This record gives sequence, structure tokens and C-alpha cells, in this order.
Amino acid sequence: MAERGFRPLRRHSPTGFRLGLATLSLLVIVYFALRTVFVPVVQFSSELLLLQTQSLTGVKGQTMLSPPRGLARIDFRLSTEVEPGGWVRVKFELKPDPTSPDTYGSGIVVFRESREDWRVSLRFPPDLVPPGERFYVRAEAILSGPRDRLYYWYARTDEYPHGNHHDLDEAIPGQDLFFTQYRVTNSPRPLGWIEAIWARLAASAHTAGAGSGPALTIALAALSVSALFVVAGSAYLAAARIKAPARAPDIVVAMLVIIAVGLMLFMPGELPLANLDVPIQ
Amino acid sequence: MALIAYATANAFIWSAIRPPIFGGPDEENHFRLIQEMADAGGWPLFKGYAQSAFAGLPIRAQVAYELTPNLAAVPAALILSAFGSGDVAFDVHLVRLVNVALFPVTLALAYITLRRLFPASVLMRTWPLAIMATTPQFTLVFSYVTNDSPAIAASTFAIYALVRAYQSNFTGRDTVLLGFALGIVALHKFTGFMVFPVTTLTIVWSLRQTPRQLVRVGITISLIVLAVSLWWYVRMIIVYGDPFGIATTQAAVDASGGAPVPFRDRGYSIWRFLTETEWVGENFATFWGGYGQVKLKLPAGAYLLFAALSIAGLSGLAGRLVAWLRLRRSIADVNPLPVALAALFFGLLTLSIWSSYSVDMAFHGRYLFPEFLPFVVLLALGLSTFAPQLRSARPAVAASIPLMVGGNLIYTLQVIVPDVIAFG
Repeated sequence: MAERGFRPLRRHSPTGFRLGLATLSLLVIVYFALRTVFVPVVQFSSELLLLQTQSLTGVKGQTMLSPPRGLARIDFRLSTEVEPGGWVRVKFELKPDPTSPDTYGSGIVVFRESREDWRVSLRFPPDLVPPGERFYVRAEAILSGPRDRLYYWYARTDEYPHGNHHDLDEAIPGQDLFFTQYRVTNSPRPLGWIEAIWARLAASAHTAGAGSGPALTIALAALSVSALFVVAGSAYLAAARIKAPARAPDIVVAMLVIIAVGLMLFMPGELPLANLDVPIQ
Repeated sequence: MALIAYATANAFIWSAIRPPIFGGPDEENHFRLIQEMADAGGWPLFKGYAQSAFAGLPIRAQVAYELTPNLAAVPAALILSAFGSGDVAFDVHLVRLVNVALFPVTLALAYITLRRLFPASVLMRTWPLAIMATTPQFTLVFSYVTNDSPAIAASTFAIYALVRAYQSNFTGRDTVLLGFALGIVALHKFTGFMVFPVTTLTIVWSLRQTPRQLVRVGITISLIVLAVSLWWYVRMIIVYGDPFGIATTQAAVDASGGAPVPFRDRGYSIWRFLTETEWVGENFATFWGGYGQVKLKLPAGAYLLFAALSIAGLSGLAGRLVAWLRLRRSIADVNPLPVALAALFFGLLTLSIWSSYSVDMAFHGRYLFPEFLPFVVLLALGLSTFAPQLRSARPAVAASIPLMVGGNLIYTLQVIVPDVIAFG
């Protein structure tokens, strides 16, 4: 249907159609390029058997260690059951420890619908939590009615060695809420994406005992260059199949469209509204 | 070229970032065999299994590692002898390079085969190659120590040689190349052996009008295959009295005690075996990515996409068959190459089901990879059936190639890396 809708435009104003496509694609690419890039520094395996724990007391929490290179984001997975017109309000607080009256910062999120898998993303300045120190994430919930429910995804095995799941500020040893910690990249945008990819591969190679030496650097460079050639070659093929012979502007437009579609398709977590961002101040 | 370079760099990166010994199924055993070769300077002897080695496990061995031919283990052992440090992590990463090096060889062989099969269409030869270069499971088997990737490379070589020999009407040089390629296949894992009966039938069919040439080609190929590979089977007979090692392995598995009894011997029907073990679903899933129940699996959406593509490809092939039957052409006009490729893939699929049912449950799609090239050719042929109706989709087909690369990169970052560094 979309093809039929676009066809007259493409036929009667090919330059305008190309310009429109290129502008739209550029907007998407610039949006991704200017995003703050986060690097996961602590995460749980997706192969873990995850369970849900209901917030019965209203207060859940998790003690953690702030990574040495700083922390700027923590994601949790929650589920809600909300009656029509109801709500679930959760206040997230970052504190030095469960008993401390001090707080680094806090933020509030309100859920107004039922959903199995909310991705709540706590965002805060990298210097908010002192690097290398233990801290506590406290989540206090208020439900609008007796039929509303709030669940946290968690692991019933002690996977995270630097902290524990808490209920009403009391530790439950051997359990961890499911969370992911991120730091921000240090490179200026959009180079942060390269830093993020390199950081992930280097961390993995280090764990695998291969180090992150020149061989990995050369391989990553070769991978990037060849991927770029694949995009350019395919853009040429695509442009040639739209109108032969393919001209440079058509190839460039095809490249931009391919890159924009690829970004949206493979990085949906970076799209607007993909996560429930909670600013912590 | 760019696709092959991408795939090679990618396989190298995977080999570097996957933990040693745990890079993929059975890496520990394959590395141990190569290490023993490097230490002893010869092929290790099979001494049977430890007591209760398979007790309580869902699987039993089909052929012991020591009884499975794997010529590629020789250069791996030589490299380990020359450059090994004694540190297991370093040595495993070193040996993995042999498997990584086979990836561009396999893809280049696949490409020159595709170029012969589809000389007029750039898309018809690059799109299948892109599938090969970016399928996560296919990359994985070329990034850790295993005897699967050498068997895949050898089988792809033989398919290339078969296509080349057929197209040149089995001239002397191409016949020699085919014999050599088949000899190489005979020195690798048995999953590549489907090419033997299919090559035989293709030659007989192609040369049925010229019996003298048929005999000459048959003798030439047989002699070369025997010259290249007979030593291994003679050695097996001398050492074990069993050329293929299957009977020796099964006797050893049974002697170890407590091993699971094959489904056929338990009285299962094929249907009951397939449905109760979910063989088709699990093999389909692990054909594209992952192993075990959850290890390195792809997102559900990716499997749905691959399922849709496979079903569309199969429908297209069925459509071509129906159209051919309707035209009532003489069977003498049949181009045997597509039939041979179909026989290779579906033949191996049938054998895989049968061996899972009657010997050991081969619960993994990678066992079909020696016929990955025929698979992608059939997929492209099947999907191209719809090309006249979907002319405007051609640019999208071209654009899907970098999207495959993008998907592969994301798999690296979101599945492969977390598998190594995530908690749990």
C-alpha cells in the first residue's frame, strides 16, 4: 500500500522524492549520532531463569557497587497490573546504604497501564554516585488500589557478588534484582558509539584471555571498512535496480536509507519512548 | 570481496572474544585431540569411554573424536607444536585461527560456485553469499576449535568441483579436481559424505549417453579419491578392524554403562521421535544460531523471519516443480545441478534425522552445514520464483544484504559479548 502511495510522487517529482528520503534518513542518522552513548558495564546473562517478585511491602531495593569508571544509568525490568483509571507510583532513590538517611538523588515514575515488561531506565550525572563505592537503589511504591500489582524481575540465585536484593530495606541474601549498569562514553559524539563497541569487545576479549591487542584493533578496523563497502556496494545494487544506470546521488540516497533503516531496526532500544527514562536528581 | 572480508574479520573477533574451551559445542574435546597430536606427534588412539560417561545424559556419541577423520587437525597440531606456549587460553586461541582461516576459503569457494550457477545475476550470487557470511551459527563454527568447519570447507570445495566438472562436461583437469576434492571430503567428518552418492548419480546421469567417458571419469575419480584418502581407512581397519569407527564407538558407549538407548531401539516410531524431542524445531533454531536450550539463541523475531523465508523458498521450489510437471518436458532435459543440490541438502537432512533416531540424537542444526551452499542456492532459487510478481522488491533484496550484516553485528554485541562477560 505504501509503495502505491509513494509511486506517483517518485514518478512525478523524482528529485523531490530523493531529497525527502535523504532528509528523513539524515534526521534518523543525526538523531542516533547525537544520542548519549551508554556502555553496559554490569549486566546479567539473558540466559538466566528470571522470575518476578511482587512488591508486597511497597519497598524493594538492591545494593550494588558503582563501577570504577563511573555510573550514569541503571535499568530495571518491572511488571505492572493496573486497574482501569488506576496507577502505580514508584520513587527510586540512590542512597549510600539502606540505613543511611542521606540520598544521592531520586526520581519518580508513574505507571498507568498493565504491562509485562517495563524497561525502567534511571538516568543521572556520572558523578552522582562515587565510583568504586557500594550504594543502594531503593524503590518505594504506592498503588492506587488493592487490585493493582507491581513486580520486579529478579534472579533467585546469587549471580551478582557485590550486593543483594532487599525487601523493606532488609537484605535477602542469595537473590538479586535483575538490573544493568551503564557508564557514559568519554569520546565526543558520535565517536562514543565506536568507543562503546570497542569497550565491549575489549572487555570480552580480556575475559576470554585473548587480551585487547593490535590484532583485535586491526580486525575491528577491517570489519568496519568491509561493512562500509558492503553498504556502499548494496546501495549501488539497489540504486541500479531502481533506475539503471545508477547515479551517484541515487547511490548516496540508497546508502542513507539503508543506514537509517538499519539503525531503527537493530537499535530499537535507542528510539524515543523505547525505555521509561527516569531522571534522578 | 567485502562480504568475505567482513565475515573473516567477524569470525576472528568471535574467536578472540569467546572464552577458551567454551567457544562452542565440544571445543574442549577437539582441542584435547589436537593437543595430544602435538604432544605425541601422531593421531591419538581411541581407548574407550570412562565408566558411566554417558549415564544420565540425553545423548550418546555417534563416532568418537579419535575415530573421526579430520585432516585439518594436522596443520592445527603443527601450529600448536611450533607456536604453542603451554598456556591453555593462548593455545586455544592459536588453534582457532585454523578454523577462522577456513571461513574465507569456504565463502570464496561458495562465491565462485554461485558465479557459475548464476552468471547473469549479481543479486542471485551475492544474496546467498550474504546469508552464508552473516548467519550467526555459520560464523560460530568457524570461530572455535571444531571438526565441523573443516568438513564444511571440504564439502563446499567438492560442490564447487562438481559444478565445475559438470559444466565442462567432465574434462580431464576438472575431473581430477573433483576427485581430489572428494578425497579431501573423505578425510573429514562424515557429515560431508552426502556428496559421494550425489556426485556418483550426477556423473552417471550426465554421461549416460557416453559409456566410455563415464567409465573413464569414474575410474579417474575413484583412483584419485583412494590415493588421497585410502590410508586413513586402511589405518582404521588395521587398528580397530572398523573402517568408519561407528561400530567401535557404539560398542564403547554401550560398554561404558548407563548410556541412553537410541530411540529406534526403544520402539519409538519416527513420528513419535520427531514430535517428542521437538527435533525439527530445535534443529531449525540451532541452524541459524545458538545451542542447548538457551545458549546464544537469536531473538524470536529473527526465527520467525527465517521461518517465513524458508517456507517462502520451499513454496517457490514447489511452484517451480509444479510448473515443470505441467510443461510435461522430457526428463532428459532436466538440468541435474539443481536436482543434485536439492539431493545434497535434503539427503543430509534425511540422514541427520535417521542417525538421530537410530544412533544418537544429533540435536543441532550445524550438522547440516556441509550442505549450507546447496541450502542457500535452493533458498535463492525458491524465492526468485516470485521475482516476476515482485519486480519492485529487487532494490529491497539488495538493501537486505547490509541489513544482514547489521543484524550480525548486533548479535555480536548483544548476544555473543554478554554471553562472555555477563553475570549468570
